[in-house]
Amino acid sequence: MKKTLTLAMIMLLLAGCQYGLFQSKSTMSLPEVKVGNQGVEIYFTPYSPPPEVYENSKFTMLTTLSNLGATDVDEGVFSISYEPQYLYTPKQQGRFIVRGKSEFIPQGMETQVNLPFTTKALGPQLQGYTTTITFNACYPYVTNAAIIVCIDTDLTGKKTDKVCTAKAQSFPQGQGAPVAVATVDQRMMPHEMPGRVIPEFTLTLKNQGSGQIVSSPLYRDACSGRSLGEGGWNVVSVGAVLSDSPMTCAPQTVKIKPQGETKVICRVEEGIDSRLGTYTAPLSVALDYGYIASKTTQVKLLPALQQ
Amino acid sequence: MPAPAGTPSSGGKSLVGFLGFVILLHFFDCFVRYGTLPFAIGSNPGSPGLWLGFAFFYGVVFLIANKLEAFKDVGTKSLVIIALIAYVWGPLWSIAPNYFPAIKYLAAIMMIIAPFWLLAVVFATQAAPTWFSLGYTILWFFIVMFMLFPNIQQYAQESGYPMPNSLSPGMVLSYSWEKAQEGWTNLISYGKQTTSMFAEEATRSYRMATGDYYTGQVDTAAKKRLGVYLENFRTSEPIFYDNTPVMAYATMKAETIDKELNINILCDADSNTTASMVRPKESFSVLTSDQYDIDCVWNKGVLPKGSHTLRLRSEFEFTTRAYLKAYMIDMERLKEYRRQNVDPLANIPDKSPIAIYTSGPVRIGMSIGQQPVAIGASGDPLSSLGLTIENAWEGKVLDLTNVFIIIPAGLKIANIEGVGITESSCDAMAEEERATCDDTLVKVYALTTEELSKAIYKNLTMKTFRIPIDIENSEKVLGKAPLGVQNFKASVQYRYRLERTTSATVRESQPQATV
Repeated sequence: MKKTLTLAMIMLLLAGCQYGLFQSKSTMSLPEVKVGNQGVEIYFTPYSPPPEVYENSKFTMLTTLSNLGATDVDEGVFSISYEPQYLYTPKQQGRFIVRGKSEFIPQGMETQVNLPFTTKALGPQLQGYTTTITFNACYPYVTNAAIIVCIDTDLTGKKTDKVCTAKAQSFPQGQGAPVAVATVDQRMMPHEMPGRVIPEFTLTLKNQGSGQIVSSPLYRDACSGRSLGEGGWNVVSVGAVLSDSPMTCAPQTVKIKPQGETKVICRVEEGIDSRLGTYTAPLSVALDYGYIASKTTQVKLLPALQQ
Repeated sequence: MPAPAGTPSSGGKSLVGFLGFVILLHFFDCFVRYGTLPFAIGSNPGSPGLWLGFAFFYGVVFLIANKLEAFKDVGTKSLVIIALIAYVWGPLWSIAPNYFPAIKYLAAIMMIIAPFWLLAVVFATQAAPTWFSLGYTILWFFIVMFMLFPNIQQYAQESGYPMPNSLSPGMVLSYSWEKAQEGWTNLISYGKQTTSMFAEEATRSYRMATGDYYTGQVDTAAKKRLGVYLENFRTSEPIFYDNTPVMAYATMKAETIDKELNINILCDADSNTTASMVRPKESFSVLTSDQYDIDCVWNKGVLPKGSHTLRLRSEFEFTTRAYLKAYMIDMERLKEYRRQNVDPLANIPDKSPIAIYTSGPVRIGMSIGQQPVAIGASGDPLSSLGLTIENAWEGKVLDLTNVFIIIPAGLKIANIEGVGITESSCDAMAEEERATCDDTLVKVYALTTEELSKAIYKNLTMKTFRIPIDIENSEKVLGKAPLGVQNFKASVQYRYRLERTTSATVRESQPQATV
């Protein structure tokens, strides 16, 4: 009996140790945060606003701004469109801060905007009215795409046993932001200086989110009624670095086409030494822009209950 | 060798099969298509798909008939006409009672027991089996007898003919003559009504085609039927005598919200003989909802012998309001959206709001052009506001007493050539409307008294205004968000008259029977 009990305790201890050993492997990997095509998303809390409200009463619209992308928003602004003849809120505009996804907060942060509304009188004979409220959030955002590329300086293609093969890559899963580098195509070009080659990357950019892109400096105006001008819409600034070498992107400020593909060419102008051979290197692309997200809800106003 | 009459040959069998198919299609049609129209009239939405489907079925019937031996003598031209009549036969009978209520029983019978192809087989061909033709004729005979016999019997009793069951041909002729007179009176009355309805419909269609008509939709949230309704105006007796009073009655329902509704009642006969008495009273004041039975009484001897058109009229003052939601956007911003092929109303559930008007006898349509409305700089003109005021019921809009047009602050109405309109304020509006009117949010305009006294506003059927709007302060209209949501409103106060008619027959009194 004693033997059996001792054996059971030993097995239990061993099982515990094994479990811990297996676990230690999975906890080592950090969550991938730079995936997805979302930025700041707007959610209306259920029943806030309620679907039906009486005239001459009050309700609260509780809006959650959830940053599902990988960039922190420190100076976002919001504005509300509503019918002033039927509703009133003292807070038609405001600011918000919401941190994005990180290794430590993989789900991203959220912030809540609490908007008190007062309903006005419906008017004689009117037995109900459905009013529209739109919440607009405008914020600056950056897409940081970290892509591993294969640099192959062998222009003649004579060498064999290379560590990697240079090829086009696509990223359907996004980079944790609404604007994404959808594909990267690459080629190596001879430099005018002997012994050097120029790596050139063709980036295809896409708005994969549900909102609209605006020029980063104009994102505040986007949430007002003002015009942004022709140059204010769909404008993204592009910057790229290959390992530690800064790249020149053309155009540096690109207008994303609503339909079709928008391409940017980035290259290391000074070139790299062709004696480096074939190796993998990180390509870091940074896209800088402003973004507008909107969400609409409807509230039905009902006549006050008769006494 | 041809088969003897009454013996179904192979051709006879196929005719019976054809009739079976036609009758089945007829009953299917009764449940599905009858009562519909292929196009929209008034609030009838129309069902072109349904009509197209049945055109196919009836086309198949025509093709089969064209192949049948029985229809050989009829000829293709006549067969085409028969096919077309068969296609519209039932629906026409189902719609006709809306315009001629007097024929509703006849229409029901024609719809249900007389599919047109069956009539064509029985009466246009010699090929129907004898037993079938005979059976069908007997069926009709009994239906007519069942319909008429109680009336003839009642007439015989009232007219003092000896009973039982001795229906003399003279009495039946006399009965037929009286019914014909009554029918004529009804026909004239319905004819006038129908002509007026068709004329209104034609005007509306013409104006819609020329863009001079703006639509609206009655408040879908309305659970209450606002206004005054007269129902079932009828005589208390089928026949009156010159030594008894003539009485007709109806149910009047009235419903209002927020404002007292004052109703005046008037009864007359043949448009000139005012009723001796209206019970319970001639004027009513309704605060919320009420229902009354109204009796119109003409004392004995007031109405002479013969057929008379009795008329019940109710007059009341009523207000109909309408509102139109409008999405406003900066003009430059809208151009930018369009260049990028972006819909600025992508998130909005009701992208093309239409005017909503409150329940009542007048329909108000409004339009401000394509949505969203582009707002340019202050001083720029905006697209004009279209406003149609239209009589929606069978009565008459006697005159307009007040017309208010309410537009968002930051806009103003420019001069309308030939129309007297002046800037007003919330204070000028009816008391119940002031609570919802804020001069800081809206601008109120009113048609002037001189304008409303013009003849065009009397007995109004339809009037359309094109109201030019200018931008006074674009920032005020747009607000602080990318999309401004505003409301255009109209409030029309008018006097309305509802009318119902019925016919009454007054006969010479019978001498008192001596005991």
